[in-house]
Amino acid sequence: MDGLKIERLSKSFGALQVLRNLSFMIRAEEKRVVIIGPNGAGKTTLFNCISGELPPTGGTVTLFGRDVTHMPPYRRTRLGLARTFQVTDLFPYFTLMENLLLAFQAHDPCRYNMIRSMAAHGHLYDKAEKLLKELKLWEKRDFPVTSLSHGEMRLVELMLGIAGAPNILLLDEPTAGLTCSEGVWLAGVIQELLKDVTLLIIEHDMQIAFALAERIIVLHQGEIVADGKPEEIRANTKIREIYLGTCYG
Amino acid sequence: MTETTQRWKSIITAACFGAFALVVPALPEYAVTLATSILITSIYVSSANLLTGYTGLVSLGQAIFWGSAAYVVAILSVRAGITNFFLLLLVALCVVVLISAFFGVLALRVKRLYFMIVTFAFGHVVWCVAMYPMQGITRGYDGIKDIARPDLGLSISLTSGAQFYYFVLVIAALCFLFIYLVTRSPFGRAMMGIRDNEHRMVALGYNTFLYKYITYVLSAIIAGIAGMLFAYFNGYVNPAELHWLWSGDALMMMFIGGIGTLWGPLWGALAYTGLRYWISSYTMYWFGIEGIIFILVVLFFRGGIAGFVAGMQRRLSGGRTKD
Amino acid sequence: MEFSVAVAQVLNGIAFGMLLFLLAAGLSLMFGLMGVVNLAHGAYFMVGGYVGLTILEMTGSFWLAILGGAASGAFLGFLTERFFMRRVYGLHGHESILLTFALSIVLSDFSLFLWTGTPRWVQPPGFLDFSFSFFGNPYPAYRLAIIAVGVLVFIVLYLFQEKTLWGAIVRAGVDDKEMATGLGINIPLVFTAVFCLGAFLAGFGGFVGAPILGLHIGLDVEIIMLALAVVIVGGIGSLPGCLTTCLLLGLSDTLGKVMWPKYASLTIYLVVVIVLLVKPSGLFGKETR
Repeated sequence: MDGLKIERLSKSFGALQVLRNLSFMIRAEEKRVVIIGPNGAGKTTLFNCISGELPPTGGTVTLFGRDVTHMPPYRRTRLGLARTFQVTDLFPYFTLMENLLLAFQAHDPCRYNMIRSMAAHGHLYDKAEKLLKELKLWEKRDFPVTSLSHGEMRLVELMLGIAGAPNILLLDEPTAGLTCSEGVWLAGVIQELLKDVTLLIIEHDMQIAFALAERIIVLHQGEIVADGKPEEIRANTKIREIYLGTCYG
Repeated sequence: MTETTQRWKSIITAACFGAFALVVPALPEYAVTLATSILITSIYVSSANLLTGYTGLVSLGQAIFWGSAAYVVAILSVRAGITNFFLLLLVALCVVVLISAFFGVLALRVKRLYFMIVTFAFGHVVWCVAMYPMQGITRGYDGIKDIARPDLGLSISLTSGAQFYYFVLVIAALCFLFIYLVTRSPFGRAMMGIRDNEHRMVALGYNTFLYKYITYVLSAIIAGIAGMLFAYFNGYVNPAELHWLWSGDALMMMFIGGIGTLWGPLWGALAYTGLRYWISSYTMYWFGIEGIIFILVVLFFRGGIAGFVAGMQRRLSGGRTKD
Repeated sequence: MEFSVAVAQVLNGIAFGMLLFLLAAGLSLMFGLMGVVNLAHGAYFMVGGYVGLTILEMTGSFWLAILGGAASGAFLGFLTERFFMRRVYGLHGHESILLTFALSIVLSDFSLFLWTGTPRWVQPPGFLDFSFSFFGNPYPAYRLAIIAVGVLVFIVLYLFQEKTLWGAIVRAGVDDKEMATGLGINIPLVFTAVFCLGAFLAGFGGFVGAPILGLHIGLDVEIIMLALAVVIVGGIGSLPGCLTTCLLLGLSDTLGKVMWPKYASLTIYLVVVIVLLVKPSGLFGKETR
């Protein structure tokens, strides 16, 4: 079954063309697709077009069989798509618990209720409690979210993405800013927690990328230069040239 | 302090204020008039607070709804002879909802700063319209006078100061209760999420435009209710009630009282009205002095009076807080 | 309307547009460079006029009065920037609007205290206090002088902006603050300088405009409303665009007051609303990121 289909996607900012005629497909059965590529390749722009933050200049984005190319971002989330951001983007004045409640509330029919208090909607608290305990952050639930460590905040960033039980989750450099070991730890958490969710991950850390991936797509200057299993990519000399320069090829 | 202890403290504080509010009519007449004025103004400021303090949309156009509702009362009761309060309420709210529904759809599409400027510009247009093209109905600069106290159609009379005061008190209490409920509800949490990080709210799947739109219309309705009460209270309505300076005053009061807090609007209205009344007996430059106070608050006391009070409470209870 | 009267009104409109330009140029630069909307700008205009009047009464010298008026504007601008604007640069735009709104109220009451509510008039200086004969009707030479002054100021500002290093620095700052700071440019100093320059022009305009507009409490509000309309409708980032919009609005306001006085302000602000909703960056403005 089609999960995500990108056809001839292009995006230009004035004279600068960031994405050129991209086409690829991710089936719902695929679980771990990693996008790698040097800086400026257009990875985050690609995510922005998929999630709806930026309208593409050309081409289409199809989600579960529906054309979402010009659909507003919030409606794509309703269809089962979610994303996290490279720069942690939480609700700075809320506690950890409140951040999560907002995320769980987004897909709940109670979200327009103006009269009964939040506390009366216990089912949201239950969901948050379950997730917090699973990730061992339950004790810090009433802390202002900005008082958490950077690694913990990346975890919260992840939690906001999975709260809506998405079918496809876009992870934009989930380990950004973390140390090597923290990154490995977070990758482990991702593997454990999101076994049944299709993940499309942008990753800069090659070790983590190759460890997580079932399939790797390599982006360079807005085009796909390679798309296949990790072993194939590893053996590909052209990729090595792109990353390391021809003198190392 | 546990949640329950804190809850009891709030209830007791509210009860004390409530008790005080109930015995106000025992004071001399000027105090009752002052108190009524403060209550009406606090409803107006709390409408701005709902929009700005809780949702983050700064609007310089609240006077549009205050003034429109006031004019509906003035025009229909004085010039058309319709005096039934509930009928006037229905018409005033319809007018206010129509204006805010129409204008909101357009204005909420632009960025925050431009939203503020366009509400200011639209407010000015509405003021101009009341002054000149609609002069036949609104009597322009002269305004409409001799508005009688509300006729509830029941046997209760509202002509005395004390009776009208209680009437306003009940309505104010209902408005504040409504705002209290909304801000603690899922809708309210979403509003605050939009205020703090709209980008993330969109990514989470919220239709943020709808939330902002509903809040805008709601705040217009509350401002309209305040405007109606004002028409009855003042007996006289003129275009100043539509002027952007009055919208600016709402923002000033909101900041002075404490933006984004439940009681901030009441504090702000109290400070503003009380100060105006007190200062103007010494000097005619009370507006300038209000300006100085506002500047001081914005620069040094960002939590306003409510923030100051909360700080005092924290210090008195031993300084144990979660932040 | 007779032809000669029409021409006179058009010239009045252009002269008024030039006065607006003195205000709008500074306002637009402040918004473009620092993201602040300075509602006190009208107050600088009014106070500059009053201070100039006082100096004129004390010394009899029109030139000293102009200097004094402009200097008082610059001084107020300096105080505003140094003590108020510095604290709100990083914050949302509305903080600057509210603060400067409060500041203008304070300045207005202060002026009321110092100069009372009686409207004042200023005589044009001796050498300009005559009339040309225009199509058979007399037309004050002073107003033509104002038009000339406006053109001169525009040329100076334009050359400054396009041809000098300082102008390039300001333009760089408008385009990309962080980059400019990274290049070693002292941005706080540039901000203060721009603020003072804008306020200087406002104070200057307030006094040289006094023989035409008079001086009264409330002038600050009237003039800032129009200057704001110019900046919104015309957009920021283009000096010729600003001048054009000033002339357009000056003409609309002047002719409007003559031909349909009840609807002049209404029409102008209706245009403002439409521009804000359709193209918020203004007619001549450059799209910001």
